[in-house]
Amino acid sequence: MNCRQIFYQFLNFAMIVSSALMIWKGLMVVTGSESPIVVVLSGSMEPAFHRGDLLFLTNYEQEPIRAGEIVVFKVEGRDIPIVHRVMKVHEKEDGAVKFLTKGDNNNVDDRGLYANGQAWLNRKDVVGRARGYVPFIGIVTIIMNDYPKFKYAVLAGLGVFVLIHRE
Amino acid sequence: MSVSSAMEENPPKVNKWDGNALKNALDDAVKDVLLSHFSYIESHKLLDGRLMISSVAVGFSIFALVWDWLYPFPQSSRSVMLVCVVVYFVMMGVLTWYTTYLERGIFCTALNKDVAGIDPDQIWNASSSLKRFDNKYHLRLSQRTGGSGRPKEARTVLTVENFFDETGKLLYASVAKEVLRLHSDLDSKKN
Repeated sequence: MNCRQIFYQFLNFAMIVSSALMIWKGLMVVTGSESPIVVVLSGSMEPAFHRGDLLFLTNYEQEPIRAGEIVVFKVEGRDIPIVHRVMKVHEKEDGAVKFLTKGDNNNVDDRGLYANGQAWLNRKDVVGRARGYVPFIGIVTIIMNDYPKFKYAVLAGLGVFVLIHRE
Repeated sequence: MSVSSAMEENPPKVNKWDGNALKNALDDAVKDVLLSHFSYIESHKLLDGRLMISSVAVGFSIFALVWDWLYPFPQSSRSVMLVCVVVYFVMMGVLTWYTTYLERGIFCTALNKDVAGIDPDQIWNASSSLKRFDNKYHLRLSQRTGGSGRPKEARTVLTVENFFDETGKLLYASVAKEVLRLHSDLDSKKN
């Protein structure tokens, strides 16, 4: 194969990766959330959500946070987001809001999970509100994270296949 | 008449049950015959166009990746992301249009350059199609005198079994015979 062909194979590979990336970024723009699709990692929201469920989030500024809603939030200093239900909300006239969350399956509220000295969450901690879900599919992500070698093997295999295969 | 090419000496062997491999092998052989039996030069314009469109699309996607990494999401990067995503998918649309309408299965463009440099070049285009699970390879050879000429074309349908032996080795001589026949048909045909 000449060098044009080789360049074309690489471009093919880059286009597949780019398509996935652009769909993700497009979702980010449309939903307003930095992570529009998340996987539930713990059983703290049972029986509503189980480990491995896929959640779809939106994060529109205009929609207020109300008690009873399920939100995904990040605690400062930790990078894993948590999905729990909003218990109490305090809202000022200018729209500034602070709220308290608790997992349905937990006995206590989340104050123990917040940063040191923090008693309430703010609007900026919210990654998004749960709008819909697909059960079980996220188990694949959990397995890939628990066994990173499996993830690399799958990715490497796919990469090699796309690079070698001629249309 | 001509020196035998590397492919003629050593024809490729493919998995005879893989339709994709068969089509690629036949395409390569037709291209090889056109370029080695005549003093034609290959023109890469068509493939270059496709590479250009794809590169622009990938460029936008890389730009979006870098921008998001430098200026994480919720701030101003929203409009930049939107532009990048829209442009990317527009480019994909352009690429599809390009492949469907401009390329139309053409895998080889060869130019018969006029030695004196006065007359415009003769452009030979070879295009082919092989449907999935089908054994009929449609080959179309067209000749156009560069600039304003109307294209003359000749088609043939080859049954793939006749061009590969049982081990999957390409029968270069049979392919060459067909291509040369089409070529002389076109040369002698009046408009």
